[in-house]
Amino acid sequence: MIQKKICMIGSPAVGKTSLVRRYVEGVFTDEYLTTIGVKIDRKTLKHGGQDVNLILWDLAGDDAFQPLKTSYLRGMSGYLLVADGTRRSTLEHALQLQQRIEEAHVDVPFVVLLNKHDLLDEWDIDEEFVQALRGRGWDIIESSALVGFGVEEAFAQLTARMLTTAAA
Amino acid sequence: MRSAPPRPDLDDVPELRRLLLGKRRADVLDDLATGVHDQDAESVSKILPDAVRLRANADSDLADALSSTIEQGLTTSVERNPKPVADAIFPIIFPAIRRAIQHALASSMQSVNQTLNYGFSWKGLKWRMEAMRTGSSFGEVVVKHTLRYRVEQVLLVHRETGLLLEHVVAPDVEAADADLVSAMLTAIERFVEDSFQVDDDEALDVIQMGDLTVWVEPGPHAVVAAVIRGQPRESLRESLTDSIETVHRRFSGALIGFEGNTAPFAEVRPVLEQCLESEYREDANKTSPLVWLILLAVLGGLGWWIFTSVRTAQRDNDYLEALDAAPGIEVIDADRRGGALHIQGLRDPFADDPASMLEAARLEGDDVVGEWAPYISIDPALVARRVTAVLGASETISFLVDNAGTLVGEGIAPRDWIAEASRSAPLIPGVAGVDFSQVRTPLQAVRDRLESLFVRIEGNGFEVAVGQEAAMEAVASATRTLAAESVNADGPVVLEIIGHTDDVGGLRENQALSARRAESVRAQLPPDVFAPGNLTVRALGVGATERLAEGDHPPSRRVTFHVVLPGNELTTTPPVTLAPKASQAAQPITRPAAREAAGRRSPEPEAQGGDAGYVAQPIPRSREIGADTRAPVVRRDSL
Repeated sequence: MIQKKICMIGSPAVGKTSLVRRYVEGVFTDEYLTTIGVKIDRKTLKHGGQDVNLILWDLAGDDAFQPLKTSYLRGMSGYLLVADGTRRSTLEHALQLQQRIEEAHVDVPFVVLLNKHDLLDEWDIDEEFVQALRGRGWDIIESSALVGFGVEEAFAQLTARMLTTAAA
Repeated sequence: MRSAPPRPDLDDVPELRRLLLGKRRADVLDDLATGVHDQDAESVSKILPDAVRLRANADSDLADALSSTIEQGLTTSVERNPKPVADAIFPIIFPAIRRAIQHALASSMQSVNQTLNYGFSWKGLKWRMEAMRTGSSFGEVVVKHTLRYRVEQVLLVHRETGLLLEHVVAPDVEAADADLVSAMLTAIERFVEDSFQVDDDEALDVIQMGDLTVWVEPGPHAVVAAVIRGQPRESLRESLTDSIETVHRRFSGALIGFEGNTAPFAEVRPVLEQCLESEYREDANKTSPLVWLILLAVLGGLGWWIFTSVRTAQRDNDYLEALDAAPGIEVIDADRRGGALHIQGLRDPFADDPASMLEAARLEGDDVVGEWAPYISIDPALVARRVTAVLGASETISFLVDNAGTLVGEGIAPRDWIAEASRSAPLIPGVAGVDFSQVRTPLQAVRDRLESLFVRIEGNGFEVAVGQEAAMEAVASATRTLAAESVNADGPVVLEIIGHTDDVGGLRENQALSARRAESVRAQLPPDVFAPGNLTVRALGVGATERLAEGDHPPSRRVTFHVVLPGNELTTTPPVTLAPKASQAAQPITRPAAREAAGRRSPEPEAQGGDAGYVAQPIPRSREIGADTRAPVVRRDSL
């Protein structure tokens, strides 16, 4: 059994917790997010014929009242960077977060999720920007916690990247 | 087309080398080419231990390279002679096995003891209520109250990632998802680190909430966390330290290079299991008097069970023996199950009721379930009962069936009944023949009675002797019966009162004297004894012609009685034997046993003249009306 620690990072209210709620198993309540700023869940999937146990650290959104506790990031093998597609600022914040992580010399794979894709009318992110990011070799996946797409794909993608990195 | 260059002659190579390098250098090269020299082996042996040590410290390649060779060597050694390997590992294996067995025994004894101790006591009841109230199991409540502490779960957590490397759980403990607990534990530690000012080298040590304590023992790369219920002893901390040290010593490579593969850490389980300590309060280990009481009760119950089993078996046996002995009952199968003795068998309807034999065997009615199929037994006793039932029971007649199946009747019965019974008895199952020769009609019976009586005469006279009152009374009574029964006779019934004398004296005198004696007796009988009826009374004398005893004359001085019955009253029916051949062979049949059992009346010494045996043939009476040929013989009777 392969186990990996991964983190969910992003601005408040981008839908991190909603994204995973339907796809993971857990024993802890959401209250942990507001108390100690993290909630642990598990996502089990198969990759290349072997079981992979993702221990998911769902971190409270980073804002002035509850800044991201970087110590929670220690030991992670990858992370999901979540932004709200209807709020461009959240994507910019996500990029800052990625920057901070990189500056902390944590070089692990990540996947960007542009959430709330069901609200296309209110979509606030232009395609060129996304393409520019993709040009950096980033994985950017549009997702909807409401409709339920993109989530499994994001986990699979991140797992593939993590295991490739580990093997390299 | 190019031709291939000519191949050099190999034999020329050493020569060529010598020319090019000079002799000394060429020799060294030769040595290298031909392999390791003896001297080289010696030099390698000097550096080999250090080389091995160096490489082992650097990485695990040497272990990988050697492992298959070592495995092969071990296998070969065991195949060749297992003893040296067994001897070598014995000091390790034996204490481990012993410890494991001791541990298993101790914990099972403890749990039995606790359950017994607390299962039935007041405290136990209270705890049972608590278990119901809190929804936990009784065992959990007992453990909660009797346990000083117990390590319920031990987790080995990778320090950097918070991932669970391995964990062990005490028996009967429900542990939450250890993977998530492990990560959350790490998260809490980081939360505390971030939220409060702690030094870098400080780590989460204890988490406590009520009865539950989590002790965390950190190592450089991993932490051991023990989830403890109760108040742990400080010695547990040492165990945790030992185990985290052991883990780091043995798995340092795997810990440093940990990439998420937890498989290598499966081997750490025994180390963690050593931390699954528990300690009970002292009183929990004391055997309560209740345990002894229960033990005593169990032993007593066992004793009682054995006693009742043996007693029941004995009673069953007695009952079955009684059934076996009873005629007309055949037990085919008997089996005790479901608390009752089930008997299957055959029973003649005239056999004794099996229930009537229960009491003798000290069994109750519901102890036995009998399934009796009816059948007809030809056991003589059963045939006799059947005959009695068919022919009608009477106080005056009894039946006996001998082993050959012959029905022997004895007693007194009306003539018509005898005739009817003689016809129907052979039709009764089990009756092979009928012998009613000993069945008499009432007239025959009273005749026999009268003919057995006599009255003594006083001296040479004709008066009834003194002391003959009882005899006279008996004669009077029998005569009265004879007179009454004579009414039913088809013809005249004659009572002859016969006088006798001894042989002293002349015939004529004796004749006259005997006639006078008979007359004297008749005169002394009350006149009403002859009436009513169809009875003729005759008094006659026979002098000394029927002297009753040799020698002493006085015994002959008496009066006897003879009854003459009409012809159809003379005999009862002849014996009937159903098998014709047997009937021929059976004439005459002597059945002393039957006679003895029937208790025949004992003959008067002078009446029948001895035992002539049991003759099945009808015996014609010697005296019949008109056939009495005895003429009075006149002799001189000495007067």
